[in-house]
Amino acid sequence: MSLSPSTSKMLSLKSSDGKVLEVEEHVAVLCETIKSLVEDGCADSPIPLANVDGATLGNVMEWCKKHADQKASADDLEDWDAEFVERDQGELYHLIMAANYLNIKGLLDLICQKVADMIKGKHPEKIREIFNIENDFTPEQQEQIRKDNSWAFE
Amino acid sequence: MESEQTGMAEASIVSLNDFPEEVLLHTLSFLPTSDAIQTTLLSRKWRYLWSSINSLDFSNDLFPRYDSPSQTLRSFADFINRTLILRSHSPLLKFRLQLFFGENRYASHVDSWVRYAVAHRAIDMDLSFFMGSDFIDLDFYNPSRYGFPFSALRNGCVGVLKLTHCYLSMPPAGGVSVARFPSLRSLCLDRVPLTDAMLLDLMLGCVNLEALFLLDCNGLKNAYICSSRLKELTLQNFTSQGASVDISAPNLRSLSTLFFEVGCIMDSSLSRADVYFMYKLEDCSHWSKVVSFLSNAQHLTVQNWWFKFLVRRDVSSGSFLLQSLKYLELRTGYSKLDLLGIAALLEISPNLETMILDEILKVDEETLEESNEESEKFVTPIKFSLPSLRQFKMKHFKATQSEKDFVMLLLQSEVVIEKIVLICADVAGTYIPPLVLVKPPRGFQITRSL
Repeated sequence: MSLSPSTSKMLSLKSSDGKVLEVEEHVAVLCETIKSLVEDGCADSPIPLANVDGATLGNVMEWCKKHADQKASADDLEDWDAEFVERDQGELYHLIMAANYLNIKGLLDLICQKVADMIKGKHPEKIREIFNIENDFTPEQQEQIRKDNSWAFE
Repeated sequence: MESEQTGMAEASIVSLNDFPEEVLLHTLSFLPTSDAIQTTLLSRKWRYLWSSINSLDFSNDLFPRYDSPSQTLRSFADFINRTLILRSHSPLLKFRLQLFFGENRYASHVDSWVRYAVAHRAIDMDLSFFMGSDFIDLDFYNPSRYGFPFSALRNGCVGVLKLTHCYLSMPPAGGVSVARFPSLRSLCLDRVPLTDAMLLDLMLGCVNLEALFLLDCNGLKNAYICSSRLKELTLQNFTSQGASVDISAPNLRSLSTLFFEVGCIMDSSLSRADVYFMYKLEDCSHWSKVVSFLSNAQHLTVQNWWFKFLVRRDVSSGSFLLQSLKYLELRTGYSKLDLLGIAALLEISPNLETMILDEILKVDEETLEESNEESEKFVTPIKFSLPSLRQFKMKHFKATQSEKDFVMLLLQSEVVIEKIVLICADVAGTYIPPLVLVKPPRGFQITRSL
């Protein structure tokens, strides 16, 4: 059972760059990682989140706040999410890493879906270019892989 | 757009390659399988990554077309077979197949893919053999539909099953009810012919079923849905004349029907219902039957049939109240008869907090006119009773005189409304932002939200 906003107690979250964020408990527990800390009674002092920087933590909590709001309808959330993922790749990368570390399935799904949409229907060269992936195959290896997988590429 | 993104990626000096494998695999699971396999060419890290994905999504639509449909089908089947052979033996979560099933000789292929998915512990299975609405007439009597072997699910862990446009091959000797399929929690049958006996058998065998969706399933006559676990039921487009369904589901919470006659609901305490019927006068009897099961509903989406409520003495003269109703979405017009209907509904909904009005679902213009004539019979003045209404929303607002009159009528009634939102209908494809009226300390003022 989630607590209503008026009775929710506040949690302090400390980012990797030392910024402290005050967040309502019913919002923060959308992160499974934080939820298990709360359940184990280890959430009193500022919770150190060594893998998440302050700016990203702010973005993550903005998402959690929206999704903890029980008044938001499914349609509202969908529109809101679509706008939320409209950001540059650097921010998306940091959000993926944070969602993975904090174990927020909904947010991880949302951003992985966004990245998948960016991959969909594109040639490998284009995908490498967009996502900054170095091609470490030799031309001969590349040709061999292409040959081996011709059943899938035609 | 893409070049912009590239620039930003360089600026933040990160690459998709920096991600842990599990995150990359998760991302690949959102792609059609053909796109996921393409990533093998990206770099060494990606070489064998695709083979561990836990979601397979084969779509005929996305597959390149060959000179003839049968050649395309052969290449597509070959592609699936090779993918399944080369894939690692890790468990599956999702298996999705969309196939233009035109030739019976591929039935054995599909059978083996289904068995592969079940053997790899797939939880979510979605098979569609629908070619699009253009083909409906053509293949209505086409015998070469795929017959899904229900017994293939035995001993698997498929929890969510969706089948579109195929037959069901029920297990022999006693059917599903003897074999038992405890893993199944959600079943959606779309354009799957069913008989009353098959449905009964399914309900008995799928003992843990919580959600059932029957969409355009022809062949039911006097169906009976009996389940102790069922929570959510959707019934759409029941086309046989005079056919109906009886429901006995004590845990049913949500019922959605579209043009579907519900005969009788037993021991239910529905908290959410979305109910639509053909807008024909004779359908009123089905409608009023359903209404009598809504006394516990909190969330209701219906058409405005409530003027009929006025003439049905047996219900309106009694103490029937929608005591729990807090959220109402009503599809309605704004004729005098419609307004009478709304007033009648509000009269029996003392605790309504949110009301949303939307356009009526038109099926038959003539019957609408016919019902307008009837309005002459009513001479009572219209008065709304809305003691608890806080939010009011009108969709597809076209600022017609009758719509404006309605809003004025609402404001003149004794209400505690805090917010009125008028969502404007698009004019010639142009989006107009909604009009929002909020209650300041003294009366209403119009503000335009952005």
